Amino acid sequence: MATREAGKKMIMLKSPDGMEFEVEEAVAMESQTIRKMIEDDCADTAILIPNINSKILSRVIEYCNKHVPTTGATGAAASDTVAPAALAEDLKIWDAEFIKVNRATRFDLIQAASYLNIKGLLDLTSQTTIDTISDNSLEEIRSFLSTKNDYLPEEEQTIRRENQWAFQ
Amino acid sequence: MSTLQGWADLPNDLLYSVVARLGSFPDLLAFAATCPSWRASISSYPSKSTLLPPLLLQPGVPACSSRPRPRPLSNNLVLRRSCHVTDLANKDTYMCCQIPQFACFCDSKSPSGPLDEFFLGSVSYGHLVLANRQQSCLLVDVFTGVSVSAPQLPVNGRILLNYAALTAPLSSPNSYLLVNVGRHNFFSRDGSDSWLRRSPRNGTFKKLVVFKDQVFGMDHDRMLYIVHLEPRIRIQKIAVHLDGSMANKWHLKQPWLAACGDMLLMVGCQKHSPSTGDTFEAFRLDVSTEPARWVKVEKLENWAIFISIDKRIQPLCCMNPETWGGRCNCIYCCNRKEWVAFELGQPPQGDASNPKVYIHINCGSMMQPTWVVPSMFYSCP
Repeated sequence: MATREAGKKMIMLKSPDGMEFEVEEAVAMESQTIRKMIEDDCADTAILIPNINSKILSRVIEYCNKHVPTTGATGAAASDTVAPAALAEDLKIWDAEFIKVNRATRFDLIQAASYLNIKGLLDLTSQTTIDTISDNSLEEIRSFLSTKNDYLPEEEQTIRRENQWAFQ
Repeated sequence: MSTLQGWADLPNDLLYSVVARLGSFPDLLAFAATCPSWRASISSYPSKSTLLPPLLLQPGVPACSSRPRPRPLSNNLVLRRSCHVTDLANKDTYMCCQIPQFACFCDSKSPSGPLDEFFLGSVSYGHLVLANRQQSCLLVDVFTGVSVSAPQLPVNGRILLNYAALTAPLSSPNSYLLVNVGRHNFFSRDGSDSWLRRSPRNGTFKKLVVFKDQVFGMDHDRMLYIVHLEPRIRIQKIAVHLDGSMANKWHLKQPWLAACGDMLLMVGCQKHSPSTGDTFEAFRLDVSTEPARWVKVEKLENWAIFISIDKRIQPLCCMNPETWGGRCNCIYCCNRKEWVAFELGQPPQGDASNPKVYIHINCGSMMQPTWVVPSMFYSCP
């Protein structure tokens, strides 16, 4: 970021596959999970993020980097020059691009958002899942999510009956 | 990276965060239909019946007839009538459901069906409660059409169902059907083959509300009771003092009992049927004092309350109505054609852009526009 000042506190995040990411503390603290670790002083050297590989972690950091000026502890610095509405609109467009990923990545992202407790990313990934549900038939959803139909025939019958009115 | 196999294995707290963001009943249904683990997360989601605004069911709206009517899945003998379903959270979405044809729908043109002699007692937890004059009583799920027979009503002669309510969703263990026929209340547990007569000392219940897992009832004399269901049905009177702003116990001409989160409310206005210029008031039951007290509430905070035309039908509540474009601190009433939001304590003023509204509150055998939450969205305790 162009406006980044020197001397900001940096945090090292480590993925289980051995990659290290140096990020601003404010960016890392977009994650409530990491924020808690920092506040509890469990983060003197590097923070190991279990279960999240370097590919996904780098995307998560990318997300937090983009979102930190408007929501993070560093406050409203960016909105001094840009109107908040325009900024929000810009972020929305950026988010839409960001989430244009294959379903495996999306699946990893939603889990990472949940584990790291990043509200904005959880909102974004949840909403994408909901859009998938809203816009497709049951068969398409099941195939998209690669879930087998695990319902017993009578359960399936109950579901069809419950859903009939809503999906005529 | 994932140790999980797939979407079906997502942990419950993550599924909850998706459920909390689902914006319509059809989306909730689609989510639940995906796989058993997702369905289980909907089942266990707390207070999901207040996540979304209830659906407005309007019988006999002609718009339905132009669409092909789906074949009923269950009992083909029962004739069905189309109802227009309006979802306030998705007003542009057209929906329709089929409810059985009972007495109020019958005219000389309609073919006769097996429920022609049945009258409406109430709508409770997504079920129509119907009874005929031969003591038969029936619960019909509004949206699935599945019907359950209650035992024969224990009253001789021709009876009229004055009031009915469930004490919990039908499938839950503490679900009792309460009815008022003649001068008595009767209770029947779901699945039981008999009725138990239990009435307040001087009358019958006219209202029932479940608040924090306790059943509260109000009689015709505005007296409040707790109905204990276990170990046996017992009715306990609660002394309640009136708020200083209430002239007397008849202050509200037509009171409704509503459970809004942490508040058990008595809501209503000083007219029997609210119209433009009338003010809705709400009083919260304060049990911190002895005796308890109705305390005036200035704001409903982040709640909206939905009141049906038929005064026997329990009001429904919705939390954070702003999430779907609604307004909190409002009482949503429906009349024949549309719905109106009355802000608590603020009488709506009629002008050129806001024509006068009049909500004709009544009760009868007719099926009238009604707010309903589909039965599957009630949490079983």
